[in-house]
Amino acid sequence: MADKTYILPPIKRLSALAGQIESGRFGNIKTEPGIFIKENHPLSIVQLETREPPAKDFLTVIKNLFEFDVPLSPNTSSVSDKTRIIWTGPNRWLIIEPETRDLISLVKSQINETSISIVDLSHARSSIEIDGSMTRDLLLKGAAIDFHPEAFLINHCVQTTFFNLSALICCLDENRFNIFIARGFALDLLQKVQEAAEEFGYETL
Amino acid sequence: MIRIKCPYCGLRDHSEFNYIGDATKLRPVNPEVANDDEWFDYIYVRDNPRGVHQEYWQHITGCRSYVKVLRNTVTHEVLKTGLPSDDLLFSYEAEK
Repeated sequence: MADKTYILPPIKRLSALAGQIESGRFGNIKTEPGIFIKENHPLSIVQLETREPPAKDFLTVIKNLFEFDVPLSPNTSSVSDKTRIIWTGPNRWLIIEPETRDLISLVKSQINETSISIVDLSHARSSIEIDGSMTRDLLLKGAAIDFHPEAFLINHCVQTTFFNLSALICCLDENRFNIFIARGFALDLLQKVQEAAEEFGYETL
Repeated sequence: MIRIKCPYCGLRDHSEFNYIGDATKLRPVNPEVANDDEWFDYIYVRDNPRGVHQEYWQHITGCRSYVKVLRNTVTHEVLKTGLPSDDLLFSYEAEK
């Protein structure tokens, strides 16, 4: 029998949390919710890894592309209006921005060095943003990291276990954090965050 | 709870790390001419020391780098940590 040729529709970008977030106010709310939870979707996420400490050419290419340098010290990130580059390991970074352009093709077109690995993780990661006066207390419930404002500064990032899930936590603003997680754990993370936020009262957006 | 200082990320819980193995075993210097006994020793034979021991751990849920740890196997005290290339026992003895 001859093989049929199927014309498949293009794959639509679908969040792992699509249809799972019920917006509203929940938990122990007195006046204002202590936590605001929302999902960041869709994001373009690209991982860069160099085999050796980055060469000058690589640093220049990144600087020309995003108009800022890659962070070279551990657990930090650099940021512009929309793009954030996070240090995730020795000679390894994540470039994250809201999906407005074909980031992976852009990066690949600029970096010709074959020893640098460029991986598109846009579909592999989910992100939940938490905001509000009690976010640092909420994070303390899930990770053994010092989240005091003097220790965990803005643009500081950590990879750790958050409620036993392997997560990347990034401080965007004084009390605003992004939590990145492997797509398959997104719903578990959301439920854990909601459960932890109940005592402070939370609003899902 | 054991706390291990990752050379990159700082002090973290040991639950973020995977135990990799004995860091005192060295690959035969000349693999081409090493005999079966040397390979058997390198691959399978491990001591179970009581006291200070050098071992490899990996910061698996963090930066994923390998960490060399000098640990007391009796008290579980982490005496020193460093990069895989560091000789921790030597520097620990020197500092004593």
